[in-house]
Amino acid sequence: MSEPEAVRAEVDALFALVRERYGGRLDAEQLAGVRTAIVGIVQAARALRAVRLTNADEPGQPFAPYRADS
Amino acid sequence: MTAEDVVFTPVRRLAEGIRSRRFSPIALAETFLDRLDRLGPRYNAVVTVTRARALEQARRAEAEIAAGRYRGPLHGIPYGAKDLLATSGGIPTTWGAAPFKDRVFDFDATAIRKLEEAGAVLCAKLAMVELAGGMGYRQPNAAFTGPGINPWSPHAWSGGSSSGSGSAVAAGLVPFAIGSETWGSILSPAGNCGLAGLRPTYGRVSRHGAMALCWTLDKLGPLALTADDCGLVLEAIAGRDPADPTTVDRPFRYDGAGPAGRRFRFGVLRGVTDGCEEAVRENFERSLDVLRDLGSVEEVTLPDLPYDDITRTILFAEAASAFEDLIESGGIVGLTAPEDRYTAYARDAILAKDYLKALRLRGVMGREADRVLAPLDALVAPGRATVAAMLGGEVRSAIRGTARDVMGAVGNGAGLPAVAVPNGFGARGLPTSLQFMGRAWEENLILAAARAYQSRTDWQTRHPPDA
Repeated sequence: MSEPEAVRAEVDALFALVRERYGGRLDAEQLAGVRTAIVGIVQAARALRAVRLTNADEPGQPFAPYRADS
Repeated sequence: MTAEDVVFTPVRRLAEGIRSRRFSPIALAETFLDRLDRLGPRYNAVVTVTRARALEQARRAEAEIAAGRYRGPLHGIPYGAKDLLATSGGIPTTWGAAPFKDRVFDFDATAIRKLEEAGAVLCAKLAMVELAGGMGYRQPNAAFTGPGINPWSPHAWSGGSSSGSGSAVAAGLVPFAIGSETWGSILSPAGNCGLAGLRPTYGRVSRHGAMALCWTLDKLGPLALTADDCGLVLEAIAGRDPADPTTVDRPFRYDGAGPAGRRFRFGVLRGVTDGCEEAVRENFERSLDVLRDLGSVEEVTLPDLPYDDITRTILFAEAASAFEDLIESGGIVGLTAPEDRYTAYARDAILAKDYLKALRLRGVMGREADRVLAPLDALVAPGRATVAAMLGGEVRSAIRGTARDVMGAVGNGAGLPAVAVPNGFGARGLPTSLQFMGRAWEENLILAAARAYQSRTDWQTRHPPDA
């Protein structure tokens, strides 16, 4: 999978975060697998960011206030 | 009554036999319990055979029917439930995962309770991919019960993630089963095993007592021999449930007869067979010929949006949160598939703003899908792009980005119903499938279309030779 420079920089930053949190419990092969998964996450995120939305485009899942007796 | 009379007999016909008292619920339960004991291990299909509960329910059904208190078409019908549905009475609920293999709940999931109220007989908790596949598995061997084995080939996979639900119905171990779908987990085993599988509209069926993988994507639905049977089961499990606030107050009554003589209007997304195996594409083209006899077929398009990325981002983020304790504690090291022991750590890399962008795009996706579907009765497509994966191979998955699945991404991301039915055989003699996807809450319409297709074909009458 080719990795453009901008993607690689973002992947590297996020991978550093994940490695900081969990690296102590992962071997080299597992860390490589985590990095590959992060590449997919970043590519998906960049595809989402590329779509322009308006201020009125709300999340599809509305929040509802809770009241026990209603 | 012999096993030959009842195994591979659709629920509707079993129900007629029970109602007329030609079939005994107790004898029926014993027949399927025996098959679950004898054949279940061959397919890695079963976690727990619930013999005591089944016989108790069957005796009650027999007594009620003898007394003239017939509850309806599931009364006295054996079934199995994916082992992510909570069951009381000391029956384990394992989520397919070794860390939970001894865990017991003290209550029944709403779907289990509603099936009991309908008089159905719980015979087994069925195997599944560990944690419904939410940790990033890449291979069939991703459950403490072993890989789900396809009754059509001992070398092929049945799942996932409702692998046991697929195997058990296809092998005649139960007449129907309950599965769950977050993205593909009902339609995939139904397609792999040559069955009908119904993914209801999100919010149609209560998920109370079901393992949460993704709160905004999880659905429960039936796998059965026919689309008609799926409708019968859906009516029993559908409905608002105060314990699941995502359920809606839209009563569902299955219309198994209508709409009589309707000419259907089907749509096919442009490019929907791109990336499909050749036999899958050929069988789909043949299916379209059948559908043209039932109505019209037209090509339609959706706007260019990153559908797979939208649904995948929601799925990964919610699954990582739902299993935060297991992941952060390192408990995932106890899972079966090696990749399930570390892949989920990567999901800390999903930024909150990107998750919210996916949720906002989901709104757009839902509106666009409804705009395309509004003049149609259903979008049709291959149920899966390929036949079942081989047991030793890698599973191609849109969830991981190794395959594309626009129908699955839109259908699950927008919470739309779909039903898959068998439409032929492909590589290695394995089944292929056809899916009908409809507007929200239009289960009756897509089931009518699927029934009409099944009335013109006989794929649902083919069963694995060794089962």
